[in-house]
Amino acid sequence: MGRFLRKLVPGHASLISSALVMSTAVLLSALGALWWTVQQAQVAESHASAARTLQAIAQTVGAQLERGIADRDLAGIRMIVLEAARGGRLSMCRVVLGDGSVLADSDVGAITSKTIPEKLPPVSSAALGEHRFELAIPGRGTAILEMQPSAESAEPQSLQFAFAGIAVGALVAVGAASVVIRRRGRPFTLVADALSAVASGERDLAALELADSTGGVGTAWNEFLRELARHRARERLESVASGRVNDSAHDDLALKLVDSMWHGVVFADEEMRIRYCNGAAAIFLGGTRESLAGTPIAECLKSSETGEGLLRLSDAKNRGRVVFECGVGEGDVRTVLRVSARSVAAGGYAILLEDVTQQRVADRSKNAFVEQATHELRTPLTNIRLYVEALIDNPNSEVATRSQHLNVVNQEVRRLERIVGDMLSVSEIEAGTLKLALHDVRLPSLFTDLEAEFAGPARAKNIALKFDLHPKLPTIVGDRDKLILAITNVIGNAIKYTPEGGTVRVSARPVDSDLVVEVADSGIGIRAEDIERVFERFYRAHDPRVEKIVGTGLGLALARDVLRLHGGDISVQSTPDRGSTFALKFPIRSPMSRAA
Amino acid sequence: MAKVTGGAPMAKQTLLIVDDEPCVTFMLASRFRELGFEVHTADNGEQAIEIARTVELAAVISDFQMPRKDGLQLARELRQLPSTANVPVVMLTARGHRLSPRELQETGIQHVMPKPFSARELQNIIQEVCGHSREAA
Repeated sequence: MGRFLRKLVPGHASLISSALVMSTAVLLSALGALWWTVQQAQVAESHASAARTLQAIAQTVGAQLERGIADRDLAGIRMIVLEAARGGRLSMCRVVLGDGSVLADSDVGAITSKTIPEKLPPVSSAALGEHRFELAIPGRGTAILEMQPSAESAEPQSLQFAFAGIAVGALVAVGAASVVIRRRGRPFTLVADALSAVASGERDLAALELADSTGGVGTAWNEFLRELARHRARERLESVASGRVNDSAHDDLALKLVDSMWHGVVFADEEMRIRYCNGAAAIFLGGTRESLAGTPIAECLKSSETGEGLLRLSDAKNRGRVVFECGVGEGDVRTVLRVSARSVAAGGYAILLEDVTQQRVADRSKNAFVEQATHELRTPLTNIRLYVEALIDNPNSEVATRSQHLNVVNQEVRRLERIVGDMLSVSEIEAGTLKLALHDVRLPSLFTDLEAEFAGPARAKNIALKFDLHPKLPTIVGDRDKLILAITNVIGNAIKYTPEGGTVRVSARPVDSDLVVEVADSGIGIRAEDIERVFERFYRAHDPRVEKIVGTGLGLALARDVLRLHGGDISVQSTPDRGSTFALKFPIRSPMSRAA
Repeated sequence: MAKVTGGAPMAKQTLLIVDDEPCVTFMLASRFRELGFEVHTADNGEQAIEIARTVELAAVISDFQMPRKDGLQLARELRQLPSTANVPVVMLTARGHRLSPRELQETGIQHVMPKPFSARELQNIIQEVCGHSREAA
């Protein structure tokens, strides 16, 4: 939409500005013509008025001059001329005789006659005119009073300023008008742009709405758009409800998309009856799309959470949207659905159904893990605390007793280390950061360590722990700590799940290019339904005999991860109540020291 | 319950300690024996019930999570046996397990001690519930 506007605005702006320029030009030329006409009239008027002024001056000054000439008062005449020129704002005022000699002149340098003759030379009538007046002196003849009005007094200056003012004012007014017109006209321009956008295929009505700053026109336009949206939504709802094929390919595509979604999508009317649902929703709701149409949604999602959740929808403070989880189905096929419902402007509700069963199962496993891990950590901590306390409380106890207590503490600290190591490794595997630190690993010493490690726990449970090692165990390349962790977890499990008096046999031998470690116990065994899952993280068999024994459900998962990182694997064979045999296999690679 | 009366010579009180962790039963047993108790140990609830049927007990210390029969079941059953109905039970729990007041009422569990716990504290509690004192021992 924005793109449309940007594309369209310059064109419209130039249209507006060219209209403005044209109207300004017309206005200015009209003003010019008016100015010229007025100027002409003014000039004519000023000429007439100047003539009248000269006439008046001639009348008053003329009488004085006639008297002065009669009296032959040359100085007086000259004074009068100077005063007349100054007072009448004349550029020139003089007295000329019929022979052309100048008797007096406002420009003193122009005087040619120094005396007033007894008899004045005759003056031809042709010499008189607009600016030349006859001075008649009785008994002596005639002279001429010649006057020239000053040039500036002929130009009406005030009018010029007025016109300039009007012109500037007109320009400013035109400018202001153009700004006002532009501003006032902007909503119309935007509406026009929006309409062009619609014509070019814009379907999102919300995008066509104008900003509030556009005033009444904008508000009206927006109201119109919303009404249109409501109308469209009603139409679509009806067409969907009646299963009519949509008219536009666009809507058809959207509907296909919704139909093929793996989330359930439901459209319900104001009474929460299903008007439309996609395929996934139909499966979640346990019906077909046809059979579900018109059914109240609460009847399909039968749970207390549904009723409560939908009730919250009408609560104003939830602003027309709620999210809740509810269980549907029975027993093994029980599904946990997350229901997100929100009211739709056109009426009714859009409801999204997501299957969160897997997430909830994972959550439960993790919670169980945390619970188990806490227990696992508390058990050795309890022992450490009890035995350290005994050592402190009985400082004078026998050496044998003290060393026995310290042995227990030592053993429990090792147990803590293992648990913490397991947890760290699992979190590393989860985060994908578990790396092997590859070194040469001498297998005979590795098994000697393991034998020493488990001698105590086996004895405590009266279990016969036997190590049956190939006499020539090779040196391999691997991560010693991680391999110990893996084998320890398997042997530890064997002891844990073998009742008192049982046996655990550990064997190690090369088979082809692999090393095979087998841990066989005479324990409780693994039921067939659990055998596939014992290597899953956090998995613990739902077997009452197993549930009583603490464990994190991590040990075997971790062992498998470690072996697979080494290029090997782990497998198990088991008979319930007879025992299990775990086989750990990993490739023998030539030691690094030799390869280097 | 063997309540000691008046100036009669004090008979040895008997404790039953139940835990599937041999280190725990061993340590607690030796501690309470030193304090003058007679101590029986069991590593699960079933075994504990067998002992409770035959021995007159002053108190029972039991772990919560155990194979075969857990601590809560054990406490319930002890409550139902006429000879042990009033024997105080101290429950050791490793899960931070919170027992509801109703569960405590039903089972007669007098104290819940979260693991890891202090043997000294346990000793104080047992002496309190048995009306036993260090001096008397």
